[in-house]
Formats: sequence, structure tokens, C-alpha cells
Amino acid sequence: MEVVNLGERLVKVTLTGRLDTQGVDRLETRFIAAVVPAANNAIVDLSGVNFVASMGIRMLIAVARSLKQRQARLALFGTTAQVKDVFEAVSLHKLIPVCATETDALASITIPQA
Amino acid sequence: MERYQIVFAPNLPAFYEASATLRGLLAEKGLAAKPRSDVELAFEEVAANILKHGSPVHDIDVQISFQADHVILTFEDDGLPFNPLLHRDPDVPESLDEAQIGGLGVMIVKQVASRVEYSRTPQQHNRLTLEISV
Repeated sequence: MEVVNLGERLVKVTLTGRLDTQGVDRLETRFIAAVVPAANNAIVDLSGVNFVASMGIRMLIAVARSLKQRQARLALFGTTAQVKDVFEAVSLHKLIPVCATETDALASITIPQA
Repeated sequence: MERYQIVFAPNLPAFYEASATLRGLLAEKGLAAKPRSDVELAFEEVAANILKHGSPVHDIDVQISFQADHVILTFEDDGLPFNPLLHRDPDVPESLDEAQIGGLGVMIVKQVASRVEYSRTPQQHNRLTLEISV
């Protein structure tokens, strides 16, 4: 996992590997620590994630919800084929913006909410 | 038709090792990317569900059968009875606030499997069979 500061309360998190039970076990604590306590708006680069299962989706939803409670937002981008299929199967885009590019992800979290 | 068996103790390290064994087997079989990840996903979701909710005491037994146009996974465990066919899919939530963080695994399994069969064996085991098209 890599975290890059993009500005005030704005970070880019790059996740890599598999977001299955073992992968989530490995990185969930660090991922939460990187964004939730500081209420950082976060864009998450998934281009290095080649496999996602429900545990990974649960982690993303839980973090997005914690951020929302702190008036911050999360957006995803760079989905690979398997990840895209699974996100679509559970309609994740209804809960978290799933964007084609980093620019789109940034736009989706920086446009003021109504 | 070729059959394989993966048996693992009901704990996370054994589950992780079993997942790696399955991935190795699927790579060896040369399945295309999509069916390969569907089989991995079915294994991950069912095994994680058994460990998290089933409280099994003994090893979990997984039979993998490779056929011409599908892979059949059969799981047997001595955990609490759980028939995924009776499990209603969670409603697709409209917002993060109302999103239930559960039931996604079963929903995913039903989408990747073209056939799902469940029985409770005379030994009081769960037996779940999933057919996945390749």
C-alpha cells in the first residue's frame, strides 16, 4: 500500500495485490489509519489489484462510510477486469464512485456536494 | 474428467494455504482468466463464510472436478447448517448510510455459479455443490 499526499486533507492510496480475506487481513488496519482519523478525502488506485472478493468490497464500503460520517469522500479508479466484474455484480457504483481515470476520481470527490 | 481434493483445518492460516493451493492448481490447468477468477471467487466466498459463521470443528473438504465445459466445486463441512439457496440477496442499497455490510459473498457465489445445490448429509454436514462454466 502506498499513500501520497495530494493536498490539504486529500490523499491518493494505491492498493496492490488481492483484496480477498488474506489481502484485507494484511492491509485493512493500515488503509483505515491512512485516511479515516484525519478525515482525508481519498482516491484509491486499484490498477494493481487483480482480484477482489466480498471482504475487499466490505472494507471499501466501511471506509467510505466512516469518511462520510466525517464529511470526507472516497472514490475508486483503475479497476482491472475481474475487479470491474465483481463491482458491477454488487452495484458498488451506487455507493462509491467507480471512475475510469484518476482525473475523474479527483473530480468526483472535489466537486462540492449538494 | 479429473478430480482433486483440498482439505484444510478450520483456521485462517490453513484457509490461506488452501487458497494458494487452489490457485496453483488452476494455473496448472490453464483455465482462461474469467473462469479461473470465478472458481477462485467461489472458493474464497464459500470457505470464508464457513469459517466466519459456521463454527466448524473438523477439516473442511473441497472436491474439485474439471470437466469439459465446467468446474464443479463441492464443499463439505461440519459447521452450523447453512443453505445459501434459502438466503435472500441483500437489497441493493441506495446510499452508504443504509448499506448492509453482509450477504455480499452469497450474492457473488450465486452470480458466478451456473448451478448451486445444497444438502445436509446424514452425518449432519453441509454439502454445497457449485458448477462454474469455463
